[in-house]
Amino acid sequence: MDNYRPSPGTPIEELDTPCLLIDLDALDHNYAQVARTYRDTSCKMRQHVKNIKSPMLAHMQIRAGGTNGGVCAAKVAEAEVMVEGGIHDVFIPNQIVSIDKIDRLCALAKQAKITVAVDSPQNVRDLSERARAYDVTLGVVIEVDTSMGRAGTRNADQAVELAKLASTSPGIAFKGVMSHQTLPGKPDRETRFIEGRKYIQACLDVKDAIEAAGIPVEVVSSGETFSYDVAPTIPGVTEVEGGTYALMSHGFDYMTDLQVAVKVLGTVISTPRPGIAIGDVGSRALASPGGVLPQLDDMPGARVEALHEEQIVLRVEASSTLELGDKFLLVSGQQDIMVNRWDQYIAVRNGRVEAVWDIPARGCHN
Amino acid sequence: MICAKALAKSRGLRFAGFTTYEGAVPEEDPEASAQGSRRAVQRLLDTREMAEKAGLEVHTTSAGGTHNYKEVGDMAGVTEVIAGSYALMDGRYRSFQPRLRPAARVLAVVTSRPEAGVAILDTGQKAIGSDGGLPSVDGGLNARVESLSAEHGSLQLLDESAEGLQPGDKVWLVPWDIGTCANLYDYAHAARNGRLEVIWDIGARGLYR
Repeated sequence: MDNYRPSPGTPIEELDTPCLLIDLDALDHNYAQVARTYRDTSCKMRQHVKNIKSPMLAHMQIRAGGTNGGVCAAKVAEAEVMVEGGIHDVFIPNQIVSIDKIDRLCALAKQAKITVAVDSPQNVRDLSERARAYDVTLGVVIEVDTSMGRAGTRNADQAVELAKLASTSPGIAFKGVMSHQTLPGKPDRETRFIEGRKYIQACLDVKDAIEAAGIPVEVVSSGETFSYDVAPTIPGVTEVEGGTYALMSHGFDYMTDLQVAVKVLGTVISTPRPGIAIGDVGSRALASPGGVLPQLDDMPGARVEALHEEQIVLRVEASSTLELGDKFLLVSGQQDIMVNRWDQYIAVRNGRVEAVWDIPARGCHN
Repeated sequence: MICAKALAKSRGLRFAGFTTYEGAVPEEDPEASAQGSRRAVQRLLDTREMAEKAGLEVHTTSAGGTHNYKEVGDMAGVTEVIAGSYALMDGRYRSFQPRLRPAARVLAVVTSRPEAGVAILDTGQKAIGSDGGLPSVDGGLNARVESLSAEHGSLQLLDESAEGLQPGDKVWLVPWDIGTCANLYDYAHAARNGRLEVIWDIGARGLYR
């Protein structure tokens, strides 16, 4: 574990590298953008902390506004960190099936409002049985697959059956439905709205089917970063699970209202031949799932040529130079995978360190 | 050579020798890979000879890796091999070194069986690392990792027995790159004969500076 804590006021150029930076102006911008978008809507943001791994950053969005006061967490361990960090309402939009993990959820429900997603009857029965043993109530939401082909019910009948079981099982409170979707490539605004509405409508159709069976639906959690401005325009959606929007990545650069707030600072450690510079940071620290390369930030005349585990290869045009010891900034293609590999954020503003924040949910895989 | 001569003259520095890592050799055919390794390391040995002819004393010639430790270690003049993955092994090096056994695996849990032929695992890119390739399924289960997203793994189930997987069942995964995977965990569970023996901290995890 690293514990790098440069003093406030330290200029960026003097930082030891590689290190993970948060651009506070960009973060404030993104949080204000979400607060504005959800200010007058009944639909609210429930920030997904799998992207930020820090209760501190979650509280910043809650204070900025636009949220329902809660967060999403991907794992029980992540939820535990959030509750310890003072968050009192956590939704896990994943299936928690192992009995030892369900017991941890129940213990957490003694301290905070806990909701979890289900897609199988056995899971509903296990949650009900353990919640009764712990004398707590777990909120339950049915995950609806809207074409990801991952977890989730595959048709409305399946969801209605599950809702009937959940709404009549002791120890759990049936809350509603959720869905999650990704969009490939770099869609324009019109495509985002068309596709986003289509997927969210698929989730709302399941809600209607459950209500038609006489079971009230309180929660419809649908929408993510690419549809954060689509979901609140659709009546019936109550909350959005946005995660990437806070810190952003170059994979989402089509979301032009949002700014990249997390970057890695590296240093040139070798210039073996003209036009090539080697940096001190590689895939281990940057992450490149699927081979997606990071991009250089604000460095015209240079680009990322290749990424190795511990080094990066930069291609430099003749018109520009990179010398030994020069610093550069990189933006990841998938921000949450990268943040999960770091122990501290160095928060900077106007070229200087303002604060150092731990990333306590890093490595919370279980 | 210019570098070595400058080094030899620098106060506070001692010229020790040469190192290379020939990571770019062909990886498909083992014999072509071995030949490529020998060619690459021969260049290093030629450099060593030039340095010695110029009167420099060369203590160290360091080369090789897990995929070619034997071929490179057998070359006269190579003084050390800098291999790492061989200890715990992984999917990437398995085909090169079938005699070495995977010693580190990730234990995943099935969290959803949404349709026939598909199982969803609680282990995704974040918990196993997939910068270079997908993990493989171990432990006798006839299934393969179809894809990984940040938090989930998707398994394709390949026979009737695998179809019997239920939510809560455990699945062994061998990471494609053990270095990336180990760097994601704070501790490792050391097991023997099916039981936990000890838990070790991974003290250098996340140390990039």
